[in-house]
Amino acid sequence: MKYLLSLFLSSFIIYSCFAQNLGNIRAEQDGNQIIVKYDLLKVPTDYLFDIYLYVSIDGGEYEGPLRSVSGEVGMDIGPGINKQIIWNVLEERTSLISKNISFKVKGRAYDSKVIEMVFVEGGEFVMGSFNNYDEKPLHSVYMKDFFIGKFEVTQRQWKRITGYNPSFFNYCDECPVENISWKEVQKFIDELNLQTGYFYRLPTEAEWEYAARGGNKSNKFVFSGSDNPDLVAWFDENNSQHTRKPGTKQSNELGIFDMSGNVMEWCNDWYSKTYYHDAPYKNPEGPSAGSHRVIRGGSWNNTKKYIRCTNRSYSTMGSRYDDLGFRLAKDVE
Amino acid sequence: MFIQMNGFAQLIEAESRPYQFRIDMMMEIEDVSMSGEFHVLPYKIQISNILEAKMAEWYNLNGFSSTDADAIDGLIVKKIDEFLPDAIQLVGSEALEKSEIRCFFIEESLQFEIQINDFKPFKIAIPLSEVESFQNNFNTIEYSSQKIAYNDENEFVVTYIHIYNPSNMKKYVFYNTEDESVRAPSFSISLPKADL
Repeated sequence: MKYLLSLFLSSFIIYSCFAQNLGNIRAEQDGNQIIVKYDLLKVPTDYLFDIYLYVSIDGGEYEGPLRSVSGEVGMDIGPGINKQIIWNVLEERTSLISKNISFKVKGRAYDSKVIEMVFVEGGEFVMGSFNNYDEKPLHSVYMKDFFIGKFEVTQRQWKRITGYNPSFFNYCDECPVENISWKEVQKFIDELNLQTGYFYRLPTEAEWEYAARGGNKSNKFVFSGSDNPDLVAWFDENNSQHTRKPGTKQSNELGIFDMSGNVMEWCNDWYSKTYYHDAPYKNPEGPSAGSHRVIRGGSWNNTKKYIRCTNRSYSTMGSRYDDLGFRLAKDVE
Repeated sequence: MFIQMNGFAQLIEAESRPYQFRIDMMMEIEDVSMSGEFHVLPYKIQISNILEAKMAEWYNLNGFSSTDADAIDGLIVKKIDEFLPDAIQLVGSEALEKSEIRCFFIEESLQFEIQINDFKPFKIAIPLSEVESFQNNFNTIEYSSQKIAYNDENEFVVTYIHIYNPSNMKKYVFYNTEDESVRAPSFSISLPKADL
């Protein structure tokens, strides 16, 4: 309790410090552009901010964030003074004429090297189904405890680690990263582990299915969290042909989101359509070799048949699709 | 209770999920500026507005009647041509005053390129011995006697300007014969209906 209290206090102190340190905002006109300057001071040096600019005209609500902006705005802005945002007004409005215009600068700090994870308590479950050949036979599997990503890895997280965004739907930082090969995912994980000191990895196929079915809290739903796919998944019947911000549908029994739909997810295992015939009982990790890697969960582009918890897909390690991403897993140390 | 700290990650107890990483990953900070006056309107519209006001004034002063009808169209075109340079000059001078002026030295030609938002860049030659002073005192350089045109790419063009460096009291005159007869875009003017 004492420890929790100190955590709370330290969070409060950090928040209080932050609350004071974005300021000295001033604006001036440069031709038909407006230059907004601000200071961002006394924040931890390893913190980067997402900076947004808003405008209020004649004392009205702040509108924004403004889109036609350049300079020190957007993602990954570090501390400093006289930081400058250029607003190209006429790209966004037909005019801006008033004696009472003010600007708001908002900053959000993320520590996106930390991936939000859910603890999955181990246990026994029946893996597979009667549906497709490669989902048979049903077989009992025992899983040890592990952690799995609460959400699919986002474009923001990918960009922070790699410095680029390969996604096809690249206008949405909070959407899952996609268009990445299994090999690129391994490079991402290596870099993430280097930067964080954790040992993240892709889930095994068995871990993935156990978590998707709700672990030892499973209600044996067809889809991850429900028998009604519309409640828990973005798929071809309720989607506008693109990815969605993870966590906007209901979670499953363990509090994990989007294991059905949104993007398909790479797993660590080699794929074999006959693997279930001779898979080990404890913590199966897939065949020792193969030509394709396992993909699970279905996507925004799939019918409900393909977003079932037990559905298996696969692709070569270099494949990239605009509906294929991943989530991370981690051992309990 | 099992707690693990690493950065901002904490393993905490929750009711429905025995253990879960919770991340205090987002902090929001914000501040606002003092309010101020801004006037941003496309230059072409500003020029049109001035032109329209001048044309309306001229039109009302002359009290055209039905007998003038045939001549009115020709007169309007002529008057637009007459008033347009003044309107451009007025809006362009205001824009010059409101804009940040930047300069870049081009070593090969010993020229400074002067850059202003929404203006066509122009170059002035500076004697080598005065380059350093010009560069170091650029923020105090004074501009006057400018003649400004407006081209069909909707940018202002400085055709003539005096540039004065107060630190060494040197004056430079920029005079661009190439841009002297810049073709302005067409301006449509709405006038009060003639009493025909």
